Amino acid sequence: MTSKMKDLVEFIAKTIVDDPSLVQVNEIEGATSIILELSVGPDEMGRIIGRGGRVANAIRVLLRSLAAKEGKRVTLEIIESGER
Amino acid sequence: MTDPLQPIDVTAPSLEQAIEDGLTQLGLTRDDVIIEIIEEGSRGVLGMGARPAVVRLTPLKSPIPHQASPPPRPRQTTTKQAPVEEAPPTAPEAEVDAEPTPVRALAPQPSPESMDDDARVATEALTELLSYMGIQAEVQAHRAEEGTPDEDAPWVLDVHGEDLGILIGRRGETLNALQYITRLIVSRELQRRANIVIDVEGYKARRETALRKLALRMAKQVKQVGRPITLEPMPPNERRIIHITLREDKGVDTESVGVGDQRKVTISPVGER
Repeated sequence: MTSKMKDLVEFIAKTIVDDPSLVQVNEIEGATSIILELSVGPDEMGRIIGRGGRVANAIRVLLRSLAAKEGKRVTLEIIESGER
Repeated sequence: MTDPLQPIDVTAPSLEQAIEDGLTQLGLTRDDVIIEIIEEGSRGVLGMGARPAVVRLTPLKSPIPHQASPPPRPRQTTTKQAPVEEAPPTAPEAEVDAEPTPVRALAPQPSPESMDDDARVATEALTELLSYMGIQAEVQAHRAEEGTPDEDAPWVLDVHGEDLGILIGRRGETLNALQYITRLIVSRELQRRANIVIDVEGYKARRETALRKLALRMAKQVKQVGRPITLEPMPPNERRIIHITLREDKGVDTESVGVGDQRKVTISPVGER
């Protein structure tokens, strides 16, 4: 079930960035919480975060609804990867 | 029993408590009722003037004896894992990369065919999102009844299935997020704004009807009592329904107050402020 969250984030990110090949999601699962680290290519942070953080927040809401099923808390971190 | 959709008033020391009590009484969740704050209640200043909170809960559906909150035991045992690992769903990356397509030649009026694109692409995107969320549901697209003068009626994608409360979320929060992400994906693919709306089991339609009724009833009350009433916080689309419903009513003014997701509509008698 938790891998669903990772897949969901990966799907959304890959669909909305310019370079999907640079999208990577790392999942760290604890007993009560899950951390998802999403890294995207340089200059793509804006797309993932969105104006006023709307995109990132929408993703977080979806993740939270999944996490709630398992009684866990989920954190989404967004990281810019790949120095150029 | 009288009308099962009869509103009930609940009094408790705190607002939260009153809402919880009411929901327990009705056997419903927050998504299934409209919560009106009749009296905010206060703990009082320095122990003086404490007043209980009063809320009115209007059920949007008949109370059904389902477990209000998901029990700790995962019930989704049947939905093991939706087949996810097939071909990566993002095929259009090549085209998107190849040409950023400066869409200057925007057709002023979307042709009927392009509208079908909206529905088709959106249905695909939404179905995909749902499968990644491990939700088994069916998506049906239909046109909304009417559009605005400058835009065609949007496509409504209705999601049907079992146990979809998770897709609605508190005050429709999850549904709004789902709609936002779906629109984003669709507009990225079509290179223009996606004219779509997502609904889950008719939630928005029910909610709109209930909000209209609520607005009218509250306006009546405001005029009778001569004091403003503040409704519970609502997302923009819901506040809009309240404003529009009462636009014609010369006896009351409506105004949104508060910040962010705490914004709520205040209905005041005209001449009050």
